[in-house]
Parts: sequence; C-alpha cells; structure tokens
Amino acid sequence: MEVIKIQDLRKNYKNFEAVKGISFAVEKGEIFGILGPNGAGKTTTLEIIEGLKKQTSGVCSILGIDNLKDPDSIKKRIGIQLQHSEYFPNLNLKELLELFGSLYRQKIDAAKILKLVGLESKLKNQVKELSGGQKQRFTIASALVHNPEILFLDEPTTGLDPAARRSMWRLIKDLNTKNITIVMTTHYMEEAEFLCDRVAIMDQGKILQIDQPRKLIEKLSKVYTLNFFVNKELPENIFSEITGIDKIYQEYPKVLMEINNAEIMTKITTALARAGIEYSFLNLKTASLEDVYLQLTGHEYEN
Amino acid sequence: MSWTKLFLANLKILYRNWRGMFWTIVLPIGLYVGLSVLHISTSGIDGKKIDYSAYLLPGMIALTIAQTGIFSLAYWLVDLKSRGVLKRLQATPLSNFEMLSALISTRLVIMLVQVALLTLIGSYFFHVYFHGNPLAVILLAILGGAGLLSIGFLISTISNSYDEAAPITTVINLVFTFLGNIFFPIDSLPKIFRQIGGVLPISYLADGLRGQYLGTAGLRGSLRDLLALLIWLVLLFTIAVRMFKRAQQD
Repeated sequence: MEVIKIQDLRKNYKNFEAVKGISFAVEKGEIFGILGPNGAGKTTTLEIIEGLKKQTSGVCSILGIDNLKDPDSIKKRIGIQLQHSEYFPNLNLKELLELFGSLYRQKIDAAKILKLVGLESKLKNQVKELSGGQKQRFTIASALVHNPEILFLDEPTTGLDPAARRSMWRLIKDLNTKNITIVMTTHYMEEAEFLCDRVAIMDQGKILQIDQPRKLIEKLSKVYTLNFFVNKELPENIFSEITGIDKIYQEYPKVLMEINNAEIMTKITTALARAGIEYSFLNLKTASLEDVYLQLTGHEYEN
Repeated sequence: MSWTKLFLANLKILYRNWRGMFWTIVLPIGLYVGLSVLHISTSGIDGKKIDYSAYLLPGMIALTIAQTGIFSLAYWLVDLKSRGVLKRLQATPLSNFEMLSALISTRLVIMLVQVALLTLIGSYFFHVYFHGNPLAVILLAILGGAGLLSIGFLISTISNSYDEAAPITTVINLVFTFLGNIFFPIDSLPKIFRQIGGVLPISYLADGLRGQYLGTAGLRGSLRDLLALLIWLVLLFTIAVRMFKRAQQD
C-alpha cells in the first residue's frame, strides 16, 4: 500500500528552482531515504509533504489525502522532525512533551515516550542540558506524541559523533519495527545503505534514481575495486587474458583496478606471480552508494 | 485545550525567566517613581494645576504597554522564529491563529500586571486620585495592548533576526515617546507633529487613560478612544497575519 504518492512536484522560488518535477511513492512500513548533497532539494521536498510549504505545481498525496486540500488531517497522522528546530526555553522535557501532546489534543505519558528514545532519566531536564545525540532523540520523541503512522526525519544524524549516530540508527530501526513508515533525508551514504529499504538519489532538484541500495550498487558496471601495491611497474597486457576487468589505474607503486567479478582475483594474483611481481596490501572493496552517486551525477560527492 | 496549554506554558516560561520579568516590571515603575519625586507641577486636562506625578501616571502606563507590546513581543517572536520553534509548532495541527493569539495573550497578562502595579504605586505613594471607571481602564489596556502587541508581531514577521528587529522597534518607540502625549502635552509641538501624534495608537491609549485617571470620563467618555484602538487593532493584526502567512509559504 502506498502511503505517500508524489507526482511531478515542483517548487520555484523567485529565481531559483528548488525542486524540478519529481515523482515517487513510499510504501507502508518501509524506511525510505532521500539521499543527496546540501541544496539538492531534499528538505524542500519534505517540507511540502509535511504541509509546511506549498508546491508550485504537482500533486502530493499523503495517506490518501491531498496536501493542499486538507493539510491539518495530514498533520494529525504524521510525525515530523525538522532539521533545525528548537523548543521553548525554560520548560523541561516532560512539560514540552505534554505541551506537544495537547497540540494534538491528546493526554500523553511523557515518561513512556522518553523511554522509547532512551531518555527516561531526563524527564526533568531542559533541552539545553542534553548532548547533541540526546537532543536529536528528543526531537524524535516530540514527533511521536500522537502515535504517527509516518515519521519524517530530516537529516537525523547530521552533526552527531559516530557513537551517537549508531544509537540513532538503532532507534530508527526500532521505530520501524513498531510499524511506523519512515521517510528520511541524509547526506551520509553509509547511513542510507544501512537503514533504508529504498533510496531516492537526489541532485539539483531532480531524482536521479530510486531503488534498494543493493540494487543500485549492482546496477553499476564495476562492482568491485581492487587495490594493491607492487614492487615493479606492471608490464603492458599482463592481464589481457582475464575477462571481467573494466579499468586499470596505475600510479607506481599503487594499482587500482575496477572489476565486475570477484572470482577473477586469483587469476590476477597468478598473473602477477608469473610475471615475477610481488604485491602487498591487496584489498578488495565492493562498490558503495558513493560509487553509484558518482556515476549518476558525474561529479564528486560533496557534503 | 491546545490554546490554553500553549498560553499556560508561555506564562510558565515568562515566570521562570524571572530576570527578564523583573526588569520588564521594575524599570517602568522606577522611571515613574524617579520622575514623580521631582515634584514638578503641570496643568491637567482642564487647565488646573496638578502634580506631575498625576499627569505622568496614565502616560507612563501607556508607554509601558507600548514597550511591552513592541519590544518584548517582537524580540521574543523573532527569537522563536530564528530558532525554528515557530516552525516546529506549525508542523502540528495547531492553527496559526491559535498559535499567535496564545503567544500574544501571554503578554497581555504582563501588561495588566504592569497597569495594576503602576496604578497602585501612583495612588499609594503619590496620591494620584483615581476618578475613572475601572472597566474602561481594563478595556483600554486590553484593546490598546493588543493593538500595540500587533505592532510587535508585525515587526517580527518582517525581521529574521534581532539585528533587523532592533532598529525598527527603536524608531517606533522614539516616535511614540515623543509624539504620543506621554511625558508632556504635545500642544506646543508644530502642527504636523500634533496631527501625526494625534492618530497614533499610543495617543488614543494615553488620552483614554488620562481621561479615566485625571478626569471623570466614565466608560462613555472613552468610547472614541476605545473605538480608535479597536480600529488600529483590527488593521494591524490583519496586516500582521497576512505578512506572517506570506512569509510562511516560501
């Protein structure tokens, strides 16, 4: 079942097209990622879906409701974590959550919600007393007060240290198993690869491709890269009899090869041994989303 | 429920920010007391000599309401806006009207406290005899307060930071203080200043209050001022909401 359906969505600002006609659908229960650099249009897209902005043209339907016709009904059923949002000062977490609950006309158990995000000990603390990771988890807690069906996370781990990022990933996976559909943006490749069931790669206001991360990677012609160091320059045509090599870059003593079949590795090492070349630091890497991105956009990924 | 909760939460925030509240309430009182102990005499509404502390009290109340409305609301809203608090509230089903009216109403409570304290101090320490109608004073304070709060709200919709809001509030405050019939009668000013001053919301508020505190205006006597304040309120609030919505669409 599709919970979000976007068709030819566009958003123009005075002299800038932020979103240039994108279409996609999100299935119930999945973690859907929008991956792209800053300025790709990820946040604008999300804010249109959330009812915070209006599109210039295109159709956007959430849980079967048109975003322009009845944004309030949508807001009651979705949870939103904004990229840069703060909270009222001088109120503690419990008071803030109860306030948010009342905005959805619901009485809530603040302790239970804080426990869900691992902040049960911070009931009486203020937001300014939380660490970056805790703050981010609190923003998720505030988005959960009304048991939303879809949760929108805008760069939930930007600015977090690696440990906090891992704990955020666990939380997102956990929430997803509680039957919440999650739509998130990120500019971290490994995050999209680890968390998302499907990823839309977005660049300069357009969606370049949508698929499961593994499938996106498999679509690449080169699936593996092989790195090693040699003690002699490689003679020409040393690997001419091996099929499955896409490219060889050599910068003595470093060699980098793009290959599409991991099994030819032994053939390569045999060929090296036959030519009397010693190799070291042999390293085989599978391609990542980063390679997918590079191939799709033709430019280097920049955060 | 949402409105009340938001209103109460904001009162709690104000209450816990006691340093800010302390100065908001103490400074106008200090200024009033400081000027009143000078024992200057001036002429009242009907030309009779009266003590300056009596002349000043209603003006001081009007000025305090204006400053709480313009400065404290504009800076608070700009702060909430720049830190993304307003956007976070807009992501909930709360309507803009509920959100803004709750945030604004909280400040009305402070204004009423300021009015009450200044009136008490004026009558106990400086023997300003109150002749008027308490209901009229409350209505003047609420309508005038809401109108002046709308100015603060309007400023917050056109400024994205404190740096942008500060010069605007300062200029408006300057005009209001000089032309608003606060510290001295504006009769001696050039005609154009008197004309501008006469239609400012703060002038209607100050005149209305002066009629209540020094004269025997009664509720009926303040109708003209109340009506003018209501017109200002509707006008300013409508413009501010429009501006707010327009800024939000982008």
